[in-house]
Amino acid sequence: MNAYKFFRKFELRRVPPAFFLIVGSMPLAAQPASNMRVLTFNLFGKTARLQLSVGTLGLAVILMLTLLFLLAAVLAVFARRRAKEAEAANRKLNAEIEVRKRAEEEIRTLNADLERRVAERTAQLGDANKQLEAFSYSVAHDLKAPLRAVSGFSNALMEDYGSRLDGEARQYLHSIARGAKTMGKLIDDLLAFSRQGLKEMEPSRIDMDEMAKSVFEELRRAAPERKLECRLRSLPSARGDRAMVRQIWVNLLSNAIKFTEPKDYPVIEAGCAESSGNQNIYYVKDNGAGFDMSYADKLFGIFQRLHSGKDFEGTGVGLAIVRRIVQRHGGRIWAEGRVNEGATFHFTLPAEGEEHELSRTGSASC
Amino acid sequence: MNCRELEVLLVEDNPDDAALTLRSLKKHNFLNTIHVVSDGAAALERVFGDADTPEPPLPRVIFLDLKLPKINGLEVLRKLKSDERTRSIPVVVLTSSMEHQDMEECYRLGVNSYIVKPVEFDNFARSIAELGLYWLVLNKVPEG
Repeated sequence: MNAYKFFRKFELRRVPPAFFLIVGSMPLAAQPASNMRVLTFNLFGKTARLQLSVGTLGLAVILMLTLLFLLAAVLAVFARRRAKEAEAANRKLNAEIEVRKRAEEEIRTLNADLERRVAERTAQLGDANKQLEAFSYSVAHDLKAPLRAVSGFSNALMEDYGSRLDGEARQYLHSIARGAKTMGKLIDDLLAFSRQGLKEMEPSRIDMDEMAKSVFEELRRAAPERKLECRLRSLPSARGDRAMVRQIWVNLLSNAIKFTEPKDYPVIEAGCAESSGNQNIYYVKDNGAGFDMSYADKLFGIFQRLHSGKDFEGTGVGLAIVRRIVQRHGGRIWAEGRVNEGATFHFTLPAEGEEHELSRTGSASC
Repeated sequence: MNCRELEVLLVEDNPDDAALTLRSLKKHNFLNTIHVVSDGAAALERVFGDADTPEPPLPRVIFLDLKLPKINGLEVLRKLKSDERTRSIPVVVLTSSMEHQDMEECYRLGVNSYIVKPVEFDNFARSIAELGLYWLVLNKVPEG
């Protein structure tokens, strides 16, 4: 059917131009006929002709353009809004990135600062240790020489001119020599004490039965005149620095021997109070001079003595050394006593196999 | 030249220690020639000689302190033990130091004996007398 007729028949002359847009066809040709325009369309492969008045055509074109413009405007508004949103999101993201970057930078700075400070402290600690070593070295070398002169010349005076001095003068010279001797011992003990703090530990398994026995035998040989009863109970093995732990036994057992001297029947006992868990509790007990529990906190302080030098010799370093060694092994030490009835010293050491515990505490200085 | 003309070289910077050492030796009837120098440089000069005496007599034994002015005892020991001429001279280190590092280093360098000087006079005098007896009477060294 003729499209023109078709459109006319259905009075579709005023068919909206949008229709043509919708069907997707474009005017193929426009033929002028007075105030009428004939449009030929290609509709689904068939040619259609449409005759429209110029006014209608213009209106349609204007309408189309307006629609297009509106569409474009709406799209533009949408696009702008999306762009704005995207921009805002971007800004936010950038700000966040910036914050994170700054935080990371801060962490890096802090880390670097921390590392620098650790290095600084380590160096300072190394320096302090070196100074301490230099100090003990100097003490060992220099402090004893004048003492030797004091002791030496007071003795020389006694030997060479003693016959010309009266009893009182000779007594003074004895006091001088004795003072020098005591100071020499103090210096040696102080050095031994400081060495215990500086020495590197070499942990290994220690047969405590064997060690306590050999130390006691050695000490007994040094005091053959003493009748000592020693009860060595079964001692579980420990883990620690052999030389240091041996020093614990030497100091505690020799203390026990020393402080039981006034007793007619001195009894010294060593044993293990508890061996469950990762620490063994060992003890050394004697029935000697004992001590007043109200001074118990002073026992382990360096140069602290609870007995006079007249009653018992000593410089007050032995127990301080024991405590330092026990602490370096991550253990504890405590004592119980009663005047004239005896004392018991408890100390803990890592049970055999507690390697981790020991190496952790090994670096701690005290 | 009599190489054993000088018997003991005592290297000691502390005059009191030197006096006490000489006194102890004298008290125990050691009448050997003892030469005292008070620093490491003088000790090396005495052994290796200088411009005036290029080949001085070598001592029979050297008593050496460790902490010395100018050149310390360890350095003196190192020089003595690394020289063919002086390697066989017994060197006894006489020091106040009980420090492990000193002992180790001395033995590494080849010291013949390491003695810690006791503070107490009786022990000191006895140590010196025993040293004299051992190194000047009992111990034999090749005659130069």
